[in-house]
Amino acid sequence: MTDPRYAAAAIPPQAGIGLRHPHHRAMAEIRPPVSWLEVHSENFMRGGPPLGLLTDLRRDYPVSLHGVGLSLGSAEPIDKTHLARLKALTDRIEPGLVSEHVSWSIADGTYLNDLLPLPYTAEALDALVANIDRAQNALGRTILIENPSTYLQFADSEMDEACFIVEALRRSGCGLLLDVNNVFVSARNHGFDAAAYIAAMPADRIGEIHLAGHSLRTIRGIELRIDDHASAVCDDVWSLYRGIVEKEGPIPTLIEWDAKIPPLDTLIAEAGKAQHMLGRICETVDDAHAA
Amino acid sequence: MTPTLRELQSRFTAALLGGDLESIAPYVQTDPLAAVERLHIYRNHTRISLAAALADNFPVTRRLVGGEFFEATAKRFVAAHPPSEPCLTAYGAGFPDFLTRFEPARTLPYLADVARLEWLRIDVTYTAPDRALDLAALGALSPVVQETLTLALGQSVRLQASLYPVDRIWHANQEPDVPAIDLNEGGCRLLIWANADGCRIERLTPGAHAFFDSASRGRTLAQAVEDALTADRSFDLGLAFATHRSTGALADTIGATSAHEGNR
Repeated sequence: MTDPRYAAAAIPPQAGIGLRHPHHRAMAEIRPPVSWLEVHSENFMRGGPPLGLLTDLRRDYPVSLHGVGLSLGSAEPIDKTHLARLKALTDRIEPGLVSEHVSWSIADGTYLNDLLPLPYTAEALDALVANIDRAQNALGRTILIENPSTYLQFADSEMDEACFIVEALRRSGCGLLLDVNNVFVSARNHGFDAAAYIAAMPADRIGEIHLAGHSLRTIRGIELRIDDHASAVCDDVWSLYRGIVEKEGPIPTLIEWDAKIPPLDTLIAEAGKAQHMLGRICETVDDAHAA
Repeated sequence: MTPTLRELQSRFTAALLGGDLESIAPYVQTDPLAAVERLHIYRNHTRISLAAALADNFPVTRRLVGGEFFEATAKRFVAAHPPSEPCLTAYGAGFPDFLTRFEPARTLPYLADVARLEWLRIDVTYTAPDRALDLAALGALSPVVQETLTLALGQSVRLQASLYPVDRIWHANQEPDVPAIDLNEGGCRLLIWANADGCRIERLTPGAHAFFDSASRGRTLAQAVEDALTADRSFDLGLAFATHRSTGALADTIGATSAHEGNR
């Protein structure tokens, strides 16, 4: 049952922002008019002042819990203790969405704090699907999985990334958090077609979209896109995004900005750009209904 | 031969933490950039992001040594003691001890103690307080029961003793301009606890520190008073209880004892 003091849980098909530590105080004091908030689940699992703030903000905003530590792609089953902490957090916060990544970050009891790439093999697919099942069973809800940005591909991959993710969605019944910047970064790094990748995704399973900035690095004369979330969203990514929402209609959209974090106003203005595109879609849909 | 996913992830982990990147290069596509160059990106990100997590948890330690020295030190710590779980607010418990043994930091003998104070602050901030000892209930017990009551320190309370004024160093480094601190002014004994407004640091007399230290080791009230008087002949139990009233330093052991007896 929803805590009566909380705002509605459902994440609206509008633009939200990621709540990051430098903005905690401003968010607590100003309560700016943003549609919804997303947080990294791990930052709130130990309780203390951060959880107090999130509980308070939850009265005014729908919240999405985005995890970075479950390590769904680990060969080993996901850690039960960590899953229990996530369950406790979802019970407390009543999030509209819970999401994680198609990657791994834990092996041999060590947490590497990175979203590491998987070989796209039948074995890795089995491991991923088994871990999504474990998470969904423990949480009692479906989760979204996010497509990764990668800087390498494994020689033994048996299928392409799009195929791997579509199959994981089909077998686990989970939804997709489509990170358009990640698609673009990986497409440029590995030379595949970003638009074709997006077209291959089952549109009815896209529960959320991520947008972020990335940087360009040149290593031994080779250009590599680095997914650093340290800048504004680039034009190519906006263009891919516009294509998706024009075709599929409004979808909850988050601006991620995790490094060189700008003032809250700048972040909200970036979300405003996504909101503007979503708003135009809504108007078009309304006009169509009126006609 | 193709490794299993488990083997691949195990080797990848060892390589990222300082092992040989070449060992996993054969499993990575190379064209147009060499496998090792690609793996370097992941290794760098892992090291930098974990060092940054440590910098978040030890901001004063970082300020004392400067960003460059801290990052180099943190990378050494990360390689030797990577986190075992994803909640990085809990990362760095072993960092103060690491600093005591870290040769390049020997010229700053107080550094490890400042790091320890930062760690204890995090530790109490994220530990839920338990019920504090009710002094009125203690007073209502017969003198014999009072004296034999086993004490305990609250779960979200920590003690620290240092040869250096680490509390002054910590407070001074919350300011943009750090005032001069005389390292020869002597050490300090501290009680660190958290309430709704955040973490607090309070100086204790040698006697009060000995008293609460005895409590942390499960000594009885009579023994703790004896320990405190041994350490400090001017120890005043009334003042120690006043500290308890304002901090909740002692856990409720009366309720626990009576519940235990009730079960018999």
